[in-house]
Amino acid sequence: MEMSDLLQRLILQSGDTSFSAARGTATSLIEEKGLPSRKNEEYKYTNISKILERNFGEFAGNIESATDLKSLIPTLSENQLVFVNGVYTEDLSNYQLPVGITIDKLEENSSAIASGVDKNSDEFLLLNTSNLSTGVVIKIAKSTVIESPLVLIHITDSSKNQAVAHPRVVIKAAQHTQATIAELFIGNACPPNWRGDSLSFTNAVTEISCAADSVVSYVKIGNESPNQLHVGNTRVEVAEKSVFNAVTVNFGGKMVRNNLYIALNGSHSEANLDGLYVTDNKEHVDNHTVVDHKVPNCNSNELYKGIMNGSSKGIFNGKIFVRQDAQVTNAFQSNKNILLSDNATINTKPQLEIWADDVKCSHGCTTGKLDKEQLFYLRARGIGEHSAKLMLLDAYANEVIEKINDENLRTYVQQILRNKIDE
Amino acid sequence: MSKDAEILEEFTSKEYEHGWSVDFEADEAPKGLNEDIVRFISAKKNEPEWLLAYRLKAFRHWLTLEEPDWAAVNYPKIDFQDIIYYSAPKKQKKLDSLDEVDPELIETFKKLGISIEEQKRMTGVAVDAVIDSVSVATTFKETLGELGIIFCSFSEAVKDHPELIKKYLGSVVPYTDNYYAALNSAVFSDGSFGYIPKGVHCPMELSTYFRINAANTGQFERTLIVAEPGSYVSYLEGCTAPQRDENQLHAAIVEIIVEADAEVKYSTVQNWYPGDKNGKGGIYNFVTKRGICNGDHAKLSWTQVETGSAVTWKYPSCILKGDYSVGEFYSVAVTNNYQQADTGTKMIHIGKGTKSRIVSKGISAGHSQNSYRGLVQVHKRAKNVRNFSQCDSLLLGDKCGAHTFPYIEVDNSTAQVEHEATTSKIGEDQIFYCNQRGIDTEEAVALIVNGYAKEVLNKLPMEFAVEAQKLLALTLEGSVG
Repeated sequence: MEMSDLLQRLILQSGDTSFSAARGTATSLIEEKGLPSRKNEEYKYTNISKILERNFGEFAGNIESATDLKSLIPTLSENQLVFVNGVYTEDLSNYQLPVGITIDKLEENSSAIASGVDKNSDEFLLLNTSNLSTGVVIKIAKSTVIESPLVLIHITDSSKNQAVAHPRVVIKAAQHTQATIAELFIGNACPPNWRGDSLSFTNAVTEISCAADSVVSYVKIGNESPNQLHVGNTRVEVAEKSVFNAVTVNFGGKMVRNNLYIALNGSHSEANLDGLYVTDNKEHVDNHTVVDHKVPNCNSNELYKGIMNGSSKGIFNGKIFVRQDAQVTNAFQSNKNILLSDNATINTKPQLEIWADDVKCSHGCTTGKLDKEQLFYLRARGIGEHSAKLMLLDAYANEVIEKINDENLRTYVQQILRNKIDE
Repeated sequence: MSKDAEILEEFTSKEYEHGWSVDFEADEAPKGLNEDIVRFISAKKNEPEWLLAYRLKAFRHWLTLEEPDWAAVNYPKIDFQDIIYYSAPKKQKKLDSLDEVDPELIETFKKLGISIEEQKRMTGVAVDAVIDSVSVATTFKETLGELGIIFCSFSEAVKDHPELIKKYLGSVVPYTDNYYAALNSAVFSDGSFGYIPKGVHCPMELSTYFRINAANTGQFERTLIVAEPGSYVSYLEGCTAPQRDENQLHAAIVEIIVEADAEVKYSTVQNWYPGDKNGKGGIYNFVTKRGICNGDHAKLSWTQVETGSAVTWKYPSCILKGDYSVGEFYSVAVTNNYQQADTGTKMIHIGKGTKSRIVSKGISAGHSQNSYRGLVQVHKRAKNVRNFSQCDSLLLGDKCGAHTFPYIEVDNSTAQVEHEATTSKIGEDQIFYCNQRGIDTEEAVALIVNGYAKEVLNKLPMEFAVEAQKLLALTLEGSVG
């Protein structure tokens, strides 16, 4: 099959040779599959290829970054690693690595990329792999407990030119570890006379493996500018007696797609997934999650909440697979949405696929406006309409935000939320 | 555990009770499908030119389509050239009394427990019995005629009421709708037509019993129901089929038009041959069912009890176009052995203040797969829409599967849409509770399943509820019923 023009533009031809095998496989697979169109069930509501096609005329290879990126970087932790357009940037980073953590370049550790790709892999995961040239491997040694979270800040800088970034992060938590890892995606604010033809595209892949008896918390915060495109694939493997917590928070973007895949490979393991998406104007946020119960005696809990304003669009697709062997499974999923304006849209598809019988699974989803009676209650007590709405939304969103187990991160997210809903 | 295994073993080894075949002299078309066959069917039925033109248009469109494969079902590829597209019992002369009916046919009905005379006398149900594509007996016609209600076979309607058929045929399910709708539109054999005039409350349940009879005959039924403003009708559809080794294709279309203030209640009990316990044979049931609430305050209600077919693939849908119209969907789907069901509904909210309610109960046993796939769509201008969906799955045995694929698309902030689903097996504590009170495990399971499905069974008309309960009990006997 001929490679489409778009793919040709998106796949870098040069790059580090240490990945040539992985890149070769991924490239031939993505050439065969092509980027997903609307006809692809997984991308039915998120036609990101079309936007890429329309906007990425000529992909500029090397992007000079603006000098004032430093001012964009919040201080969230003692340990911050900064990536600019997918490339780890030492002089913006700031950390004193706690004992037990090592950070290596992926180039020198190319075998660390998880099992790799096949024809069922997500198209954007393939695209990321076919562009592999750099990345980091974070290893947490056995029995390490990390107090302060490790924060990875990804800046997609398109201040001078269209930017395409393919960040790749591999996290390996060994046995008996406890750690919180956060990824923050930000972009530089667009110039005031922005024409929309200078979008950036971030296509991130994060692979996490949790060895037995570990407790790993993962926070993903998406706060890129409203004309950035973002696709993120987070793939997690959880071994026995481990707990994996994920909180995914998104504050819009031209089109954002998060694929969170969690495989429960060892029995007595647990996955907790929480998500919040807040969109306005013409933003578009799509969250796809998969929890794959492969073995018996595992639990999963999922709660995703959305607030849509303007003519924005929210999409949620949560899949729970319970394989035939996965008896005594408890899997719960809930998706709640608030539409604040008449033009906002929500498409949700909570999906259960169950092949085992000794299970307790449920999903629920609701869509509606702010509760009139709650508003009335507050207003009857002398609180103005605007403040009353903010209070209710704040409380609504906090159910998710309070799952973030680090105070700095929590405050940071709350701050963004307040700015966003107070617009 | 061993008790459970025993019970399951007994249940899974149960053979299909209604498995018999009656030999009629069928008037068959040759195998295969091409334009000549379409013309043959049309000529056989003395159809007017416009209907033939419609069939041919549909056929030509069908040729351009590809067989869909997105459903969560597996079956060997259908060879559409290996199907006989037309087959009719030879006795075609009009019958005025039951004495003239083929005694074998009467026997058929007796086996099914739906003897016409009994129904005629006792239940007040008018039966339009469809055996292999041609309506053989239609009863209660006179009574209905007095009220202006038309209830007849589709081919009769084409002859007697061409203006109505012309107006409504394909208006809800156009031949371009999907692969099987196009196929049906090209080769549909016969079906039922119901027309309820303005303001008429149909005094009895209209009912059609479908049976697939002659071997290798795909059934392509077409049902069209039109309820004029302010009318009411309750329509029953029931199916059983004899045991067959080869898979048989059934691709029907049901179209319902509900005008302002009218109400249509459509109930189905489906018990086609599901294949034997190794998954051999059985009916493929790929049906397009859709109704439109055209006027304000219209109401359309689908109730289905699905216990049969090797593969069921259907989504009875409501297009809620009129303001304040109401759509309902109540379903119980039971699968056993290697049965597969991918069923659900679509609720398309276009009018303001429209309401819909979905209650789906799936029960899977053996190696079966049971999926709910549904869509709730709220259009931008549909203000104050209300939807509530509930789909529960019950798993009996560790080799079956239950899947839920609800699509919810909301384009209006005033909509209140709720969906909830649960999947579980029967709780040990529930069984224990019953055991403690002297109810043995088998009875307890029956009790629990009955309670589980009750919400839907209650929605069936009286006559059907009995049959449905019987069917449920039959299918799950030895394990849960």
